[in-house]
This record gives sequence, structure tokens and C-alpha cells, in this order.
Amino acid sequence: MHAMADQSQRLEPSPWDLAAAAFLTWRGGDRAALDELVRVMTPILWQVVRSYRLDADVAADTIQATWLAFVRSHESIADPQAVGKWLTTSARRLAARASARGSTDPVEDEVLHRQLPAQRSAESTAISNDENARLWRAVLTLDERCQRLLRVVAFEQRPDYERLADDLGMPVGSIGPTRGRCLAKLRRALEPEGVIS
Amino acid sequence: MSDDEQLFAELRTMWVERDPMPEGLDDLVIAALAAEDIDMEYELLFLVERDQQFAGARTTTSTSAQTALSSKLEFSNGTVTVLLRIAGGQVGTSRIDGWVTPAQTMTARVVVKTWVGETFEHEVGVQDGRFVLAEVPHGLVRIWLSPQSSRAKPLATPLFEI
Repeated sequence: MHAMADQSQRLEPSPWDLAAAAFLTWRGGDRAALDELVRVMTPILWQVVRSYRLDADVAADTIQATWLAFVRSHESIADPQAVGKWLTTSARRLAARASARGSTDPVEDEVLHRQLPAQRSAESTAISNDENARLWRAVLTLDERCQRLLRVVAFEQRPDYERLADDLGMPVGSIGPTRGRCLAKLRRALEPEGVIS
Repeated sequence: MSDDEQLFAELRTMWVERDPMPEGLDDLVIAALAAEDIDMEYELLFLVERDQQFAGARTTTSTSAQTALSSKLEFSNGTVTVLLRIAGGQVGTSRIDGWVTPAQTMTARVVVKTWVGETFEHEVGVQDGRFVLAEVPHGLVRIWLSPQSSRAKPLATPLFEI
């Protein structure tokens, strides 16, 4: 079972590998590979940017600005494997700036209002929706800093703690311990319901 | 997979489902990059606010052109603020009223990649910080503001949809 999981992981390339491959192909002169890079990375950038509670329009704008900056400065990316990280880091930087300008919204309310049943119909998604709802409620009990830190860490590839600390206004050495505390709080918030079910 | 990695994987699934990327954002980015001239120096304005209202009542016909959509977009670079009011004009076009503060003499150029794949360009003067683009065809729009006298870089909005 475990071996199978490992195998499927190996068979399914990570977005970081897909991004690196698309980036190399694009640099090799294939313009269409840039579209592929955009399709792989934009959903991830959305998650990173939204952790700053930017409203949807400002979040989309921040992502466009990230990509426009990328096509101008991609030559500074020496290692193709680092392209995903370059993009998430730049997006986070721009999001932090937009957030400091005050273009923020209480995202969770907006998201909660969107919780009308989606087009997904499979029974399995109904179950996963329940689990997601439980996880979502637990995340909402965390303070804003924990929510952002966990979301950024969840979606970035080996986040750079030094830059993350800077962007989150936290001392560098405290990111690791804070991450641990946030995860512990999340697990506690998940406990009561977990015991009942 | 460690317990933490497992939990992060569940969090990823949850966030993607709860707050997915809006449909078409990747297409907008692709269009913006396709139109980008990287040799051109300019300063990108950032979106401060977008306010959208359906003005007219919905008609029974399904053509969206009959549902007047008015929106207000505010862009800035921290120094210059550009306010755009976009209102339905002739069928298939919109009128864009623009205000630039602090007021300065510039030219405003609109570039539209229309839904049928044509490129529309039109340039007007900005007087006392004000400009009007009367009949802008619908599509993906970018507005360029070039200061007339100074050597300052032109300002450009990001690509947006009307």
C-alpha cells in the first residue's frame, strides 16, 4: 500500500517539475511552453496570494503583475528547478505590498458565501467535502498569522524561511516553531469532532 | 509521508476546493503575456479597487450587450491615481471616462484585443487630468498613459476585460 503510494507519487510529476520542464522548453524557444507554465503555476499563485486576504480582483491583478515581472526578469533564474519558487516568492512579495496598501477583504466570509453546492457530483466528493468542511472550520479558529503561514507553507515548495519571516513580519528563527504551534493548534481544533465521528 | 505532510496535503485539497482560482485567470495571464513587448519600458499600475454594477434591468433576450454593465476601476502606482468609469455604449462597445490625479497633460492610448481577435487602438489627449474614450470595442483592454513633456516612463494598466 505504502509502496503503491510512493510509486504513484513518482509517476505523477510535481507541479514544480512540470514548471521546470515547461520553463526549459520555453527558454529553448518554444513559445507555447510559456502557456503551459502559466497553467501549472497560476492556481498555486492564487493560493499563495489569497493567503494575504486580498479581494479576488486585487489577487488576480497581483498575479498578472507577477507574470509580467517574470517575463522581464526570467534571465535571473539560473536553475530551471527554481522557477516555481521564484514565482511564488514574487507573488508573495507583491501580495504583501497590496495587503499593506489595505486592499484586503475578510476573505473567509466571501468564501463561506460561495459554499453553494458546486457542479461536482461524485459521491466521493460529498465525503471529501465533509472532511474539508471540518478542516475549514478548524482553520478558521486559528489566528490570521497562523492561517497565512500554513497556507503559504502548504503551497510553496520549500519556502524560504528568511524571506517568509520578513514578509510575515516575524523573526527568522520563529517561523519553524510558529509553524509547529499552528499545526498543533489546528490538530487540537480538529480533535473534538474527530472523536465524535 | 509524515503526519505533517499528510495534514498539509489535506489542507491543500481543502483550500483548492474552498477557494479555487477563478476560471479564466490563467487565460487572462496568457493573453497579457502574449501581448507584452518586453523591450518597452513602462511602469505597471496596480489595481486598487474594482467596483462592478449591473445598471440596466435584464432583458428577456439573451444578448449580454443589452444588459448595461457599468464598472469603476481604480489604479495607482502610489503617486498617480487613475480612475476609470466604464459604461455600456453602442452595442458591442463601451465608453471609458478617465481621471488622472494629480492632473497632468498626457496622452491616453487604449489597446484592445477584441473577442474576434482583432486589435483596436485609439489615442486621445488627457486634459486637466481627464480623458474620454467614447467607443471602445469589447475585449481585453490595456490603457497606456504617456506624459507629454517629461522623460518619465509611460504608465500602463494591467490587462482587464470589458
